Amino acid sequence: MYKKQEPVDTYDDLEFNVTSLNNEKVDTVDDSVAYAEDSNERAMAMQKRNQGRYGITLTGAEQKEESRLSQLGGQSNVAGASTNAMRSDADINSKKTDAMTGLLSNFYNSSLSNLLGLEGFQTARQNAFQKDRGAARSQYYGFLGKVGSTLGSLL
Amino acid sequence: MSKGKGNVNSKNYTTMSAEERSAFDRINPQVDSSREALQQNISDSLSKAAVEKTGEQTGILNADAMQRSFSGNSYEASKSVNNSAQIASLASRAFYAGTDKGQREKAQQEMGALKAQMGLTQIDSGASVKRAGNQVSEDLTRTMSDAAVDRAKMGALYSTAASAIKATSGPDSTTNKNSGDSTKPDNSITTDQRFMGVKLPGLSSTKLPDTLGGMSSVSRLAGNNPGFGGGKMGEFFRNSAAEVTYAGGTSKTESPFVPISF
Repeated sequence: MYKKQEPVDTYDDLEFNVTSLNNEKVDTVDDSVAYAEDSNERAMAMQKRNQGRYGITLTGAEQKEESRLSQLGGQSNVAGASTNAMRSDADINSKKTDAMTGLLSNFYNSSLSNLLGLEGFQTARQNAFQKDRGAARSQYYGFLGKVGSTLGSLL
Repeated sequence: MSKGKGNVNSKNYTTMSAEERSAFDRINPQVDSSREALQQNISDSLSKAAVEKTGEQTGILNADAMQRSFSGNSYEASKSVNNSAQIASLASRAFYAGTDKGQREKAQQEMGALKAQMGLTQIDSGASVKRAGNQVSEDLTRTMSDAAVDRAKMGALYSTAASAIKATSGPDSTTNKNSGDSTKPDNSITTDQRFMGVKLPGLSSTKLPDTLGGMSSVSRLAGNNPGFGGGKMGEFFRNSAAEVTYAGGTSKTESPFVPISF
Protein backbone atom coordinates (compact mmCIF):
# COMPACT_ATOMS: atom_id res chain seq x y z
CA MET A 1 0.00 0.00 0.00
CA TYR A 2 1.27 3.42 -0.90
CA LYS A 3 2.33 5.32 2.15
CA LYS A 4 2.07 9.07 2.00
CA GLN A 5 5.39 10.70 2.79
CA GLU A 6 5.27 14.04 4.49
CA PRO A 7 7.86 16.40 3.00
CA VAL A 8 10.72 17.23 5.29
CA ASP A 9 10.69 20.94 5.84
CA THR A 10 14.32 21.81 5.31
CA TYR A 11 13.78 25.42 4.49
CA ASP A 12 14.45 26.75 7.99
CA ASP A 13 17.87 25.13 7.94
CA LEU A 14 18.47 26.36 4.44
CA GLU A 15 17.50 29.92 5.28
CA PHE A 16 19.81 29.82 8.29
CA ASN A 17 22.68 28.56 6.16
CA VAL A 18 22.10 31.13 3.46
CA THR A 19 22.10 33.92 6.02
CA SER A 20 25.17 32.52 7.74
CA LEU A 21 27.11 32.12 4.52
CA ASN A 22 26.10 35.58 3.39
CA ASN A 23 27.29 37.09 6.65
CA GLU A 24 30.35 34.89 6.98
CA LYS A 25 33.15 36.58 5.07
CA VAL A 26 36.55 35.07 4.60
CA ASP A 27 39.03 37.22 6.53
CA THR A 28 42.56 35.86 6.83
CA VAL A 29 44.40 39.18 7.10
CA ASP A 30 44.98 39.05 10.86
CA ASP A 31 46.17 35.45 10.73
CA SER A 32 48.47 36.21 7.80
CA VAL A 33 49.99 39.25 9.50
CA ALA A 34 50.51 37.33 12.72
CA TYR A 35 52.15 34.51 10.83
CA ALA A 36 54.41 36.94 8.92
CA GLU A 37 55.50 38.55 12.22
CA ASP A 38 56.27 35.11 13.66
CA SER A 39 58.17 34.23 10.50
CA ASN A 40 60.25 37.38 10.82
CA GLU A 41 61.14 36.57 14.39
CA ARG A 42 61.99 32.97 13.55
CA ALA A 43 64.13 34.07 10.58
CA MET A 44 65.99 36.61 12.73
CA ALA A 45 66.58 34.04 15.44
CA MET A 46 67.83 31.57 12.85
CA GLN A 47 70.21 34.18 11.44
CA LYS A 48 71.60 34.91 14.90
CA ARG A 49 72.14 31.21 15.49
CA ASN A 50 73.94 30.85 12.17
CA GLN A 51 76.16 33.85 12.85
CA GLY A 52 77.12 32.35 16.21
CA ARG A 53 77.67 28.90 14.69
CA TYR A 54 80.04 30.22 12.00
CA GLY A 55 81.75 32.85 14.27
CA ILE A 56 80.62 35.90 12.29
CA THR A 57 81.10 39.10 14.27
CA LEU A 58 79.48 42.27 13.03
CA THR A 59 80.80 45.74 13.74
CA GLY A 60 78.57 48.29 15.47
CA ALA A 61 77.74 49.96 12.20
CA GLU A 62 76.96 46.58 10.60
CA GLN A 63 74.76 45.57 13.50
CA LYS A 64 72.93 48.89 13.25
CA GLU A 65 72.44 48.45 9.52
CA GLU A 66 71.34 44.85 10.03
CA SER A 67 68.77 45.92 12.57
CA ARG A 68 67.44 48.65 10.28
CA LEU A 69 67.24 46.35 7.30
CA SER A 70 65.67 43.59 9.33
CA GLN A 71 63.02 45.94 10.48
CA LEU A 72 62.33 47.13 6.94
CA GLY A 73 62.39 43.58 5.56
CA GLY A 74 60.08 42.40 8.30
CA GLN A 75 57.67 45.25 7.72
CA SER A 76 57.72 44.51 4.02
CA ASN A 77 57.00 40.87 4.70
CA VAL A 78 54.11 41.73 7.00
CA ALA A 79 52.71 44.25 4.52
CA GLY A 80 53.03 41.72 1.72
CA ALA A 81 51.27 39.06 3.73
CA SER A 82 48.51 41.50 4.61
CA THR A 83 48.05 42.58 1.00
CA ASN A 84 48.06 39.07 -0.33
CA ALA A 85 45.56 37.99 2.31
CA MET A 86 43.29 40.92 1.55
CA ARG A 87 43.40 40.23 -2.17
CA SER A 88 42.84 36.56 -1.67
CA ASP A 89 39.97 37.14 0.76
CA ALA A 90 38.35 39.60 -1.60
CA ASP A 91 38.63 37.14 -4.44
CA ILE A 92 37.20 34.25 -2.44
CA ASN A 93 34.38 36.36 -1.02
CA SER A 94 33.57 37.67 -4.45
CA LYS A 95 33.43 34.17 -5.90
CA LYS A 96 31.31 33.02 -2.96
CA THR A 97 28.91 35.87 -3.52
CA ASP A 98 28.71 35.04 -7.22
CA ALA A 99 28.07 31.39 -6.45
CA MET A 100 25.45 32.31 -3.85
CA THR A 101 23.81 34.68 -6.31
CA GLY A 102 23.59 31.92 -8.87
CA LEU A 103 22.17 29.44 -6.39
CA LEU A 104 19.71 31.91 -4.93
CA SER A 105 18.61 32.97 -8.38
CA ASN A 106 17.83 29.38 -9.32
CA PHE A 107 16.13 28.78 -6.02
CA TYR A 108 14.05 31.93 -6.33
CA ASN A 109 13.00 30.98 -9.86
CA SER A 110 12.01 27.53 -8.74
CA SER A 111 10.08 28.81 -5.71
CA LEU A 112 8.30 31.42 -7.78
CA SER A 113 7.42 28.79 -10.35
CA ASN A 114 5.92 26.63 -7.60
CA LEU A 115 3.97 29.58 -6.26
CA LEU A 116 2.62 30.36 -9.72
CA GLY A 117 1.62 26.70 -9.99
CA LEU A 118 -0.46 27.10 -6.86
CA GLU A 119 -2.04 30.24 -8.26
CA GLY A 120 -2.88 28.24 -11.38
CA PHE A 121 -4.87 25.85 -9.19
CA GLN A 122 -6.87 28.77 -7.85
CA THR A 123 -7.56 29.94 -11.39
CA ALA A 124 -8.74 26.44 -12.33
CA ARG A 125 -11.05 26.43 -9.32
CA GLN A 126 -12.46 29.83 -10.21
CA ASN A 127 -12.97 28.81 -13.84
CA ALA A 128 -14.75 25.62 -12.83
CA PHE A 129 -16.98 27.61 -10.50
CA GLN A 130 -17.86 30.15 -13.19
CA LYS A 131 -18.57 27.38 -15.69
CA ASP A 132 -20.87 25.43 -13.38
CA ARG A 133 -22.62 28.54 -12.15
CA GLY A 134 -23.22 29.64 -15.72
CA ALA A 135 -24.64 26.22 -16.64
CA ALA A 136 -26.94 26.21 -13.61
CA ARG A 137 -28.17 29.73 -14.31
CA SER A 138 -28.68 28.96 -17.95
CA GLN A 139 -30.78 25.95 -17.02
CA TYR A 140 -32.77 27.92 -14.49
CA TYR A 141 -33.55 30.81 -16.79
CA GLY A 142 -34.34 28.39 -19.61
CA PHE A 143 -37.00 26.90 -17.39
CA LEU A 144 -38.38 30.34 -16.57
CA GLY A 145 -38.46 31.07 -20.27
CA LYS A 146 -40.44 27.91 -20.96
CA VAL A 147 -42.96 28.79 -18.29
CA GLY A 148 -43.23 32.32 -19.62
CA SER A 149 -43.62 31.03 -23.16
CA THR A 150 -46.40 28.66 -22.14
CA LEU A 151 -48.20 31.41 -20.29
CA GLY A 152 -47.67 33.84 -23.14
CA SER A 153 -49.17 31.47 -25.68
CA LEU A 154 -52.31 31.32 -23.60
CA LEU A 155 -52.79 35.05 -23.15
CA MET B 1 -31.51 24.66 -2.32
CA SER B 2 -30.60 28.11 -3.52
CA LYS B 3 -32.60 29.65 -6.33
CA GLY B 4 -31.57 28.22 -9.66
CA LYS B 5 -27.98 27.62 -8.66
CA GLY B 6 -28.07 24.07 -7.43
CA ASN B 7 -25.09 23.37 -5.24
CA VAL B 8 -22.82 25.67 -7.25
CA ASN B 9 -21.47 27.37 -4.20
CA SER B 10 -18.27 29.34 -4.64
CA LYS B 11 -16.92 27.96 -1.37
CA ASN B 12 -16.96 24.46 -2.81
CA TYR B 13 -14.67 25.61 -5.60
CA THR B 14 -12.45 28.36 -4.29
CA THR B 15 -11.57 27.20 -0.79
CA MET B 16 -7.98 25.96 -0.62
CA SER B 17 -7.47 22.38 0.41
CA ALA B 18 -5.25 21.57 3.37
CA GLU B 19 -2.55 20.34 0.99
CA GLU B 20 -2.71 23.49 -1.03
CA ARG B 21 -2.64 25.71 2.04
CA SER B 22 0.33 23.77 3.37
CA ALA B 23 2.21 24.11 0.10
CA PHE B 24 1.39 27.80 -0.07
CA ASP B 25 2.54 28.42 3.52
CA ARG B 26 5.71 26.57 2.69
CA ILE B 27 6.57 28.19 -0.63
CA ASN B 28 5.43 31.75 -0.13
CA PRO B 29 8.09 32.60 2.51
CA GLN B 30 10.70 30.89 0.36
CA VAL B 31 9.95 33.26 -2.48
CA ASP B 32 10.10 36.30 -0.22
CA SER B 33 13.25 35.39 1.66
CA SER B 34 15.17 34.08 -1.36
CA ARG B 35 14.37 37.30 -3.20
CA GLU B 36 15.56 39.29 -0.19
CA ALA B 37 18.78 37.26 0.05
CA LEU B 38 19.33 37.65 -3.67
CA GLN B 39 18.99 41.40 -3.42
CA GLN B 40 21.44 41.38 -0.51
CA ASN B 41 23.91 39.40 -2.57
CA ILE B 42 23.64 41.76 -5.48
CA SER B 43 24.41 44.65 -3.14
CA ASP B 44 27.36 42.68 -1.77
CA SER B 45 28.64 42.02 -5.27
CA LEU B 46 28.61 45.71 -5.98
CA SER B 47 30.48 46.56 -2.77
CA LYS B 48 32.96 43.72 -3.41
CA ALA B 49 34.31 45.67 -6.34
CA ALA B 50 35.25 48.47 -3.95
CA VAL B 51 36.98 46.03 -1.54
CA GLU B 52 39.02 44.53 -4.34
CA LYS B 53 40.07 47.96 -5.56
CA THR B 54 41.25 48.90 -2.07
CA GLY B 55 43.28 45.68 -1.86
CA GLU B 56 44.93 46.45 -5.18
CA GLN B 57 45.94 49.93 -4.06
CA THR B 58 47.39 48.50 -0.86
CA GLY B 59 49.38 46.00 -2.91
CA ILE B 60 50.91 48.76 -5.03
CA LEU B 61 51.91 50.76 -1.94
CA ASN B 62 53.45 47.66 -0.44
CA ALA B 63 55.48 46.95 -3.58
CA ASP B 64 56.79 50.51 -3.50
CA ALA B 65 57.80 50.15 0.14
CA MET B 66 59.68 46.95 -0.65
CA GLN B 67 61.58 48.66 -3.46
CA ARG B 68 62.62 51.52 -1.17
CA SER B 69 63.67 49.24 1.70
CA PHE B 70 66.16 47.28 -0.40
CA SER B 71 67.54 50.00 -2.67
CA GLY B 72 69.45 51.82 0.10
CA ASN B 73 71.31 48.81 1.55
CA SER B 74 74.97 48.10 1.37
CA TYR B 75 75.74 44.85 -0.40
CA GLU B 76 77.46 43.05 2.47
CA ALA B 77 74.92 43.92 5.11
CA SER B 78 71.90 43.45 2.91
CA LYS B 79 73.17 40.06 1.84
CA SER B 80 72.74 38.56 5.27
CA VAL B 81 69.59 40.45 6.11
CA ASN B 82 68.09 39.60 2.74
CA ASN B 83 68.69 36.02 3.58
CA SER B 84 66.55 36.12 6.71
CA ALA B 85 63.96 38.36 5.11
CA GLN B 86 63.75 36.02 2.21
CA ILE B 87 63.23 33.09 4.54
CA ALA B 88 60.49 34.93 6.39
CA SER B 89 58.88 35.97 3.13
CA LEU B 90 58.93 32.45 1.78
CA ALA B 91 57.34 31.21 4.95
CA SER B 92 54.66 33.83 4.78
CA ARG B 93 54.00 33.02 1.15
CA ALA B 94 53.67 29.39 2.01
CA PHE B 95 51.25 30.26 4.75
CA TYR B 96 49.30 32.48 2.38
CA ALA B 97 49.19 29.80 -0.29
CA GLY B 98 47.96 27.24 2.20
CA THR B 99 45.38 29.56 3.68
CA ASP B 100 44.21 30.61 0.26
CA LYS B 101 43.80 27.05 -0.91
CA GLY B 102 42.07 26.06 2.29
CA GLN B 103 39.66 28.97 2.14
CA ARG B 104 38.80 28.28 -1.47
CA GLU B 105 38.18 24.62 -0.78
CA LYS B 106 36.08 25.51 2.23
CA ALA B 107 34.04 27.98 0.22
CA GLN B 108 33.56 25.38 -2.49
CA GLN B 109 32.38 22.83 0.03
CA GLU B 110 29.96 25.30 1.58
CA MET B 111 28.53 26.16 -1.80
CA GLY B 112 28.23 22.50 -2.67
CA ALA B 113 26.39 21.79 0.56
CA LEU B 114 24.14 24.78 0.05
CA LYS B 115 23.38 23.71 -3.49
CA ALA B 116 22.43 20.25 -2.29
CA GLN B 117 20.26 21.70 0.44
CA MET B 118 18.53 24.00 -2.01
CA GLY B 119 17.98 21.08 -4.36
CA LEU B 120 16.39 19.09 -1.57
CA THR B 121 14.14 21.99 -0.61
CA GLN B 122 13.16 22.46 -4.25
CA ILE B 123 12.28 18.79 -4.55
CA ASP B 124 10.20 18.99 -1.38
CA SER B 125 8.43 22.11 -2.59
CA GLY B 126 7.80 20.58 -6.00
CA ALA B 127 6.35 17.50 -4.32
CA SER B 128 4.08 19.72 -2.21
CA VAL B 129 2.82 21.50 -5.31
CA LYS B 130 2.28 18.22 -7.14
CA ARG B 131 0.40 16.79 -4.19
CA ALA B 132 -1.68 19.95 -3.86
CA GLY B 133 -2.41 19.76 -7.60
CA ASN B 134 -3.63 16.20 -7.30
CA GLN B 135 -5.83 17.22 -4.39
CA VAL B 136 -7.23 20.18 -6.31
CA SER B 137 -7.95 17.93 -9.28
CA GLU B 138 -9.79 15.44 -7.07
CA ASP B 139 -11.73 18.21 -5.32
CA LEU B 140 -12.73 19.90 -8.55
CA THR B 141 -13.75 16.67 -10.25
CA ARG B 142 -15.93 15.74 -7.29
CA THR B 143 -17.42 19.22 -6.97
CA MET B 144 -18.16 19.49 -10.68
CA SER B 145 -19.61 16.00 -10.72
CA ASP B 146 -21.89 16.87 -7.79
CA ALA B 147 -22.93 20.04 -9.57
CA ALA B 148 -23.66 18.09 -12.78
CA VAL B 149 -25.80 15.60 -10.88
CA ASP B 150 -27.58 18.43 -9.16
CA ARG B 151 -28.23 20.14 -12.48
CA ALA B 152 -29.60 16.92 -13.91
CA LYS B 153 -31.98 16.65 -10.96
CA MET B 154 -33.03 20.24 -11.39
CA GLY B 155 -33.43 19.67 -15.11
CA ALA B 156 -35.75 16.73 -14.48
CA LEU B 157 -37.79 18.80 -12.05
CA TYR B 158 -37.97 21.71 -14.46
CA SER B 159 -38.96 19.44 -17.30
CA THR B 160 -41.68 17.82 -15.22
CA ALA B 161 -42.96 21.19 -14.06
CA ALA B 162 -42.95 22.61 -17.59
CA SER B 163 -44.79 19.57 -18.93
CA ALA B 164 -47.35 19.78 -16.18
CA ILE B 165 -48.00 23.45 -16.90
CA LYS B 166 -48.24 22.80 -20.62
CA ALA B 167 -50.54 19.81 -20.20
CA THR B 168 -52.92 21.67 -17.94
CA SER B 169 -52.83 25.01 -19.72
CA GLY B 170 -52.06 24.36 -23.38
CA PRO B 171 -54.32 23.41 -26.39
CA ASP B 172 -56.43 20.29 -25.85
CA SER B 173 -55.37 17.68 -28.33
CA THR B 174 -58.64 15.79 -28.29
CA THR B 175 -61.01 18.68 -28.91
CA ASN B 176 -58.54 20.88 -30.79
CA LYS B 177 -59.96 23.81 -28.89
CA ASN B 178 -58.06 26.50 -27.12
CA SER B 179 -58.76 25.18 -23.71
CA GLY B 180 -56.60 24.62 -20.70
CA ASP B 181 -58.99 22.32 -18.99
CA SER B 182 -60.85 19.73 -21.02
CA THR B 183 -63.00 18.94 -18.03
CA LYS B 184 -64.72 22.29 -18.29
CA PRO B 185 -67.69 22.37 -20.62
CA ASP B 186 -66.69 25.65 -22.26
CA ASN B 187 -63.07 24.57 -22.67
CA SER B 188 -62.00 27.66 -20.77
CA ILE B 189 -58.55 28.07 -19.30
CA THR B 190 -58.52 26.96 -15.74
CA THR B 191 -58.10 29.40 -12.93
CA ASP B 192 -57.24 26.59 -10.58
CA GLN B 193 -54.13 27.71 -8.72
CA ARG B 194 -52.97 24.15 -8.44
CA PHE B 195 -52.05 24.41 -12.07
CA MET B 196 -51.26 28.04 -12.58
CA GLY B 197 -49.79 29.06 -9.32
CA VAL B 198 -51.17 32.54 -9.90
CA LYS B 199 -54.62 33.94 -10.32
CA LEU B 200 -55.30 35.49 -13.69
CA PRO B 201 -58.12 38.03 -13.22
CA GLY B 202 -60.58 38.36 -16.07
CA LEU B 203 -59.10 35.45 -17.95
CA SER B 204 -61.92 33.04 -17.47
CA SER B 205 -62.14 32.06 -21.13
CA THR B 206 -60.07 32.56 -24.22
CA LYS B 207 -62.21 30.37 -26.44
CA LEU B 208 -61.85 31.70 -29.91
CA PRO B 209 -65.07 32.51 -31.82
CA ASP B 210 -66.00 30.49 -34.85
CA THR B 211 -66.32 33.66 -36.92
CA LEU B 212 -63.35 35.77 -37.84
CA GLY B 213 -63.71 39.41 -38.91
CA GLY B 214 -67.47 39.09 -39.55
CA MET B 215 -66.89 36.32 -42.09
CA SER B 216 -69.72 33.93 -41.38
CA SER B 217 -68.94 31.27 -43.91
CA VAL B 218 -66.51 30.43 -46.59
CA SER B 219 -67.31 28.01 -49.34
CA ARG B 220 -65.29 26.91 -52.24
CA LEU B 221 -66.66 27.93 -55.68
CA ALA B 222 -66.23 25.34 -58.37
CA GLY B 223 -66.95 27.74 -61.19
CA ASN B 224 -65.22 29.21 -64.17
CA ASN B 225 -63.44 32.52 -63.98
CA PRO B 226 -62.55 33.76 -67.47
CA GLY B 227 -59.92 36.16 -66.18
CA PHE B 228 -57.50 33.43 -65.16
CA GLY B 229 -56.73 31.64 -68.43
CA GLY B 230 -56.87 27.88 -68.90
CA GLY B 231 -54.84 24.80 -68.04
CA LYS B 232 -53.66 23.73 -64.61
CA MET B 233 -52.73 27.25 -63.55
CA GLY B 234 -56.09 28.60 -64.57
CA GLU B 235 -57.79 25.79 -62.75
CA PHE B 236 -55.77 26.58 -59.63
CA PHE B 237 -56.74 30.22 -59.75
CA ARG B 238 -60.30 29.43 -60.50
CA ASN B 239 -60.48 27.04 -57.64
CA SER B 240 -58.99 29.68 -55.40
CA ALA B 241 -61.94 31.99 -55.92
CA ALA B 242 -64.66 31.77 -53.30
CA GLU B 243 -68.04 33.14 -52.50
CA VAL B 244 -67.87 35.26 -49.40
CA THR B 245 -70.94 36.29 -47.45
CA TYR B 246 -70.48 39.50 -45.53
CA ALA B 247 -72.30 40.58 -42.43
CA GLY B 248 -75.59 42.12 -43.52
CA GLY B 249 -76.43 39.42 -46.03
CA THR B 250 -74.50 40.54 -49.16
CA SER B 251 -72.32 37.96 -50.83
CA LYS B 252 -69.62 38.17 -53.48
CA THR B 253 -67.21 35.86 -55.22
CA GLU B 254 -63.71 36.84 -54.17
CA SER B 255 -60.31 35.55 -55.16
CA PRO B 256 -57.17 36.11 -53.11
CA PHE B 257 -55.25 36.52 -56.34
CA VAL B 258 -55.26 39.55 -58.55
CA PRO B 259 -56.54 38.55 -62.04
CA ILE B 260 -53.85 38.79 -64.64
CA SER B 261 -54.34 38.27 -68.41
CA PHE B 262 -51.66 36.11 -69.96
